[in-house]
Amino acid sequence: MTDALEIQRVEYAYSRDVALRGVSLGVDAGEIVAVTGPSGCGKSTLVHCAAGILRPQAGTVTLAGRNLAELTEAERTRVRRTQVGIVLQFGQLVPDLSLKDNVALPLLLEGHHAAAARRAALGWLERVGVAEDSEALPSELSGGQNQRAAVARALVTGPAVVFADEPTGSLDSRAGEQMMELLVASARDGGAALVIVTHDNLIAAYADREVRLRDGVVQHEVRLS
Amino acid sequence: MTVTTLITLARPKSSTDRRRSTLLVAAVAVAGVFLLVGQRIVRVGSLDSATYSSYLTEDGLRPGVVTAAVLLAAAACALAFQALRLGTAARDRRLAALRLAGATPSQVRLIGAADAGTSGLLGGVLAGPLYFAVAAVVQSLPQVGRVLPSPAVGDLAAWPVLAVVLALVAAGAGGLLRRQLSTEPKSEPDRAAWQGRYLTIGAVGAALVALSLMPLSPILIFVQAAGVLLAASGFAPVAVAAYARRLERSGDPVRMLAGGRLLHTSRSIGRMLALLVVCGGVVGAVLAIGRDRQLSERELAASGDFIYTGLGFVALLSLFAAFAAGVAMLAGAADDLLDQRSQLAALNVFGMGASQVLRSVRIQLTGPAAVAVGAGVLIGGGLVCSLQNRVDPPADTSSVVVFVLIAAAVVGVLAGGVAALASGVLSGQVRDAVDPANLRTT
Amino acid sequence: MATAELVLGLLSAGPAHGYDVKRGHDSWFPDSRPLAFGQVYTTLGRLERDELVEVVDRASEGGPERTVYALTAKGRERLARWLAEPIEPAPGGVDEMVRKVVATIRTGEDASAYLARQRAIYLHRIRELKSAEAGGDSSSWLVRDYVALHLDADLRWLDRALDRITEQKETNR
Repeated sequence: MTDALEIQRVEYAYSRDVALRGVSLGVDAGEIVAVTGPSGCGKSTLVHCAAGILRPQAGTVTLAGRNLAELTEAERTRVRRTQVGIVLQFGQLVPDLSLKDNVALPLLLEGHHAAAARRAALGWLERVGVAEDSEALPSELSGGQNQRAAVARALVTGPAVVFADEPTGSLDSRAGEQMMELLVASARDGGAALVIVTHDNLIAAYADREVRLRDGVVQHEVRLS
Repeated sequence: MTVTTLITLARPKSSTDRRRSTLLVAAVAVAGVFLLVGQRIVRVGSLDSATYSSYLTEDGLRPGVVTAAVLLAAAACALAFQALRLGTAARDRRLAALRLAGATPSQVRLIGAADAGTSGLLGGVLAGPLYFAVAAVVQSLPQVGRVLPSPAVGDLAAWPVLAVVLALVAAGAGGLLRRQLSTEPKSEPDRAAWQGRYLTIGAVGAALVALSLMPLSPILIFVQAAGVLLAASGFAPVAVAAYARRLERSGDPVRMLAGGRLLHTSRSIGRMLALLVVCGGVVGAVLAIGRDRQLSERELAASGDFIYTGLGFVALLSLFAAFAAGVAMLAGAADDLLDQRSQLAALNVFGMGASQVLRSVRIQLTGPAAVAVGAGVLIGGGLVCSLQNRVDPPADTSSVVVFVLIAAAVVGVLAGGVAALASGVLSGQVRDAVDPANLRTT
Repeated sequence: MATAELVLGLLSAGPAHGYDVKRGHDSWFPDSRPLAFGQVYTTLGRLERDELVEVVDRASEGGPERTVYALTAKGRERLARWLAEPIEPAPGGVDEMVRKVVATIRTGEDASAYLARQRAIYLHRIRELKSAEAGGDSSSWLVRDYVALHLDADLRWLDRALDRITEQKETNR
C-alpha cells in the first residue's frame, strides 16, 4: 500500500515555545489515524505541518508522494489544494457565500468550470445530507449542518488526506457522533486517508490507529482495528 | 453601576477598538471645524470687500458658503457614524458577555453612549484649535481665497457649546446603535425586503430631479441637490446588491468572495457610494460650468478669478467628502478582514492566499467607486447642461455634453485607480487575516 | 443482580410464560449474557411465593406444560418502587485497573507502556461497540453507550493518573 502521508522527524518551534520535537508518522492510503494527547501537546501544529500550512524547521513531510520541502510556495499551494482537505472545529465556511458556493470554492480555485464545480458541490452536499440547504448561508443553519458542509468542502477535490482538527469540538455528543460517522464514511467514499485530531477518546475510537503525542513527541502508537 | 465602572467598560479594549475611536474622534473634529466655520459666517456683519472674497462680502452668496460648510460637516458626520458601526462582530460578543454578566439593556446602551460620547467630546474639544488654525491659514491666502473671516471672540464661546452638543449627539447615536444589539436576537431578516424600501427612496429622489428639470419648474437648486442625494442613497445599495449577485454567480472564486461580501454590506457600502455620487456630481457640475465659461471670453475676463476660486473651493471640498467616504469604505473592509480571519485562514489552506484575498477586496472597492463617481459626474454635468439649455435655449451645448461624457469616463477611471491604490493599504490586514494561526480562533 | 425485579418488569406488559420472559430479557440486553431457563423458573417460583406474581393459566397443548404468569398488584407496586430508587454509588478503589496501576508504580514498572496497552484494548472495544450500533434492538444502544462511556471514564482516569505521576517525578527530580 502506498503512503498517503509520511512525516519524518519533524520539528517546529513558535517564537516562544517548541511545539514539535522530532515527530515521525506515516499514514497509509485510506487509513484513519487519530492524533490524540492533552491540549498543548502539539497535535494541531503537527497537522498544520502535515497539511503544508506551516513549514517545519527540520524534518520532511511527504504528501501524496511529493516532498513538500522541495516545492515552491506555488507548487505547495497546488498540492494542498488537490491533495489536502481540512475540517476545523467551527466549519470556517465563508459567511457570505451559500453552502453550495462554499463547497464549490476549492474546485473553482483549481480552475474548474463554474457549472461543473457547482454540480460536484451539490453532489457532495447530497452525500452529507444537506442538499436541501445548498442555497442557504452558513449563518442560517446549525453548527452541525455547517460541519457537514465543511466535510463536503474537504472532500470535493478528491484529496489524498483529510485533516480534521477537533471536528466535533463545537457539537454535542450525539451530533458529534453523527458527524464522525459521516466523516469516516465520506473519507472512505472519497478514498481519502483521514487524520483526526482530538482529545476525546470516544472520537479517537473511530480510528484504525492512535498516535498519542505528549510535549511534542510521540508517546505511543497503538493499532485499534 | 458607578461612573468608574462605566468608563472602564466603555474604554477601547483592543488595537482595532483604538483605531476605531481615533477615526471617530478625527471625523467629529472635522465636522466640528466646519460647523464652527458655518456659525462664524452666519454671525458675520458687513465685511470689507477689499480684504475678503466676494463669496463672503456679497449677501446673496454667503448662504451658499454656509450651506457648503454644513454639507461638509454632514459628510464628516457620515464618516463618524460609519466609524461607530465598525467592529460590530467583536463588539457583539463583548456585549453578549456583558448581558450574561447581568447588564440590563439600558446599561448596555449607557456603555455604548459613554463610549461614543467621550469620543464626541474629545473631537469637539479638538475642533477648536483646528478651527483657529484653519482660520489663520485662510487669512494668509490672497483676497479671492479668503472665504472665512478672522476668528472672533464669539468663537471662543461657540467652541465649548459645540463640544458639548457633539458629545451629546455622539452619545445618542452610540446608545441607539447599541439598542439594536442589546435587544433579543432577531430572526434572520428577509434578504430582499430592504430593496423595495430603498427603491422607493430612490424613486422619490429621481422624481424630485425630474420635476426640477421641467420648464418653469418652481423647484430650487437645493431641492435638486437633495433629489440627487435621495436618488443616489436609494438606488446605490440596490445597484451594489445587483452587481454583487453577478459577481457571486461568476464562478471565479476571487470575484465570488468579493460579491458575497458586497452583497452583505451593500447597504453601508451603498451609503458611502451615494456620497461619492454627490461628490462626482459636484465635480461634474464644476467641470461643465467651467467648460461652458470657456466659451465666453468676455465673461471670463470680467469675473474669471471669482468664478474659478468658487469652482476650485467646491472641487476641493467635494474631494474631501470623497476622501471621507473612501476612508469609511476602507475601514469597513479592514473590519471585515478581522471578523472573518479564521474563515480566510481556512481558505488559505485551499489555496486562496493573501494576494487573491487582496484582489477580491480591490474588486469590492474599485468597480463600485469608479461607477459611482463616473455616474455622479454624468448627473452633475448633465443637470448643468439642462439648466443652461433652459436659461439660454438657442445656445449650442452639444460640445459641453460631449465634454461631460468624456469627463465622466476619465474621472470615473481615475476614481477607480485611486480606489485600487488605496486598497493596497489593506495588504497588511489581509496578510494577518490569512495567517494559519487564525485557524484556532472562533 | 436484580433479576427478580427485571422479571417483574418483563411481565409488566402483560401475562407471559417463562420462555417469553427469557426471550424478552435477551432482546433487552443483546450484548449481555443470556438468562438461563433454570434461573427464570426459580425466580418465577420465588416471586409466586412472595405473591408478587400469580399463575393465570396452565396450558399444555400436546407439548410441555406451559405456565402463564402475571403481575399482582403487590408485584406492580414492588416494580415501581425498584424503578424509583436511585442506585448507591459503588465503593471506590476496588477496580482491578486501579490495583494494577498502583502496583505498576510501586514496582517501578513503565506506567506509560501500560497506558498504551490499556488504551489499545479499550479504544478497540469502544470501536467495536460503535460499529455494532447500527441496527439491533431499539434499546441495545443504551447498554453499549453505557459501556463505552465507562471505558472512556477509565481511560481519562488513567490519563490523569499518569499526568500526576509524571508531575511528581519532575518535581522530585
